[in-house]
Amino acid sequence: MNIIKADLADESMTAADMQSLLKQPFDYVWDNSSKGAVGAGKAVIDSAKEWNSKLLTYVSSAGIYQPNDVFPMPETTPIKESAGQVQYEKYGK
Amino acid sequence: MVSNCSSQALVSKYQNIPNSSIYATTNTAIESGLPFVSFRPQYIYGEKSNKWDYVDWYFDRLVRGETLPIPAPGTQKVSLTNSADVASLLASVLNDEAAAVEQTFFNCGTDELCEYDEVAKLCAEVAGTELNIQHYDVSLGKAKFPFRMTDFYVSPDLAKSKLGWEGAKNSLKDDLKWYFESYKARGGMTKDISFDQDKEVLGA
Repeated sequence: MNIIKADLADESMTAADMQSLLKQPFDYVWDNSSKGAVGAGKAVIDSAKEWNSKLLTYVSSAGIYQPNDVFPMPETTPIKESAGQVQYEKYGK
Repeated sequence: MVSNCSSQALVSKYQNIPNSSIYATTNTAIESGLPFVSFRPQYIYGEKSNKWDYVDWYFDRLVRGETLPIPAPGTQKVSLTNSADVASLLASVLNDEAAAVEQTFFNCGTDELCEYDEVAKLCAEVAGTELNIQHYDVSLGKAKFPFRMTDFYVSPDLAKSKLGWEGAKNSLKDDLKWYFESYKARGGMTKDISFDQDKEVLGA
């Protein structure tokens, strides 16, 4: 196992920056950090696309739900379009 | 609707394609694009997590003999999930990658929900303290209460049915034992806490 530490809140990070840190492509990517499709978050998605990764798994948030009195809230619950996590979901998808 | 969301995005992307072709195009687009899955977790705690605020709120008041101001009626449910169970959910995409990508969006939380009052009772048992709850009108505001004023919980049914996730292996009731030890080790018993906002909603 190889652990590389980097500032994932860095909004200036590009896909090229990320790839030079990681030094190799990855088939499976989990992103448990990004709060939006900017900086390092965008770099993760762009890199996964360039690598033709088999799967990018993102950790979004149920905080994006705007419930309409249906509980438990299903995945089809309306979401807050302006949320950074929604921007990431849209860019990743 | 999730299905509408993804369809709308694709429809706008391929808006010049006649309607009759949209579904065929959708399938092609999913196959040729980045395989993407998104999990939507709720409240997380865990020995190796950095999320202590939610459950600490209860212990902060209990160990100091303070009344717990809980928004009425106190039967609202919360999904408090051990980070190890969040991790097993995130790993479950590997059980069926195609099904994961097809569904794309998954709720991410324990299947053991607790009511706000129930969390208080469990914490009081573990800490060996008296329990004084006062339910207050939600119109008075949130004060420092860590959860939503009204119901706000998910179920992980889709992750179970589509990804074969086995369900949570940890429960809050059991975890509160180590959690309380951690609370004490982190200086929870002696730290300075202001209860001014509590007093405002309690009318005290």
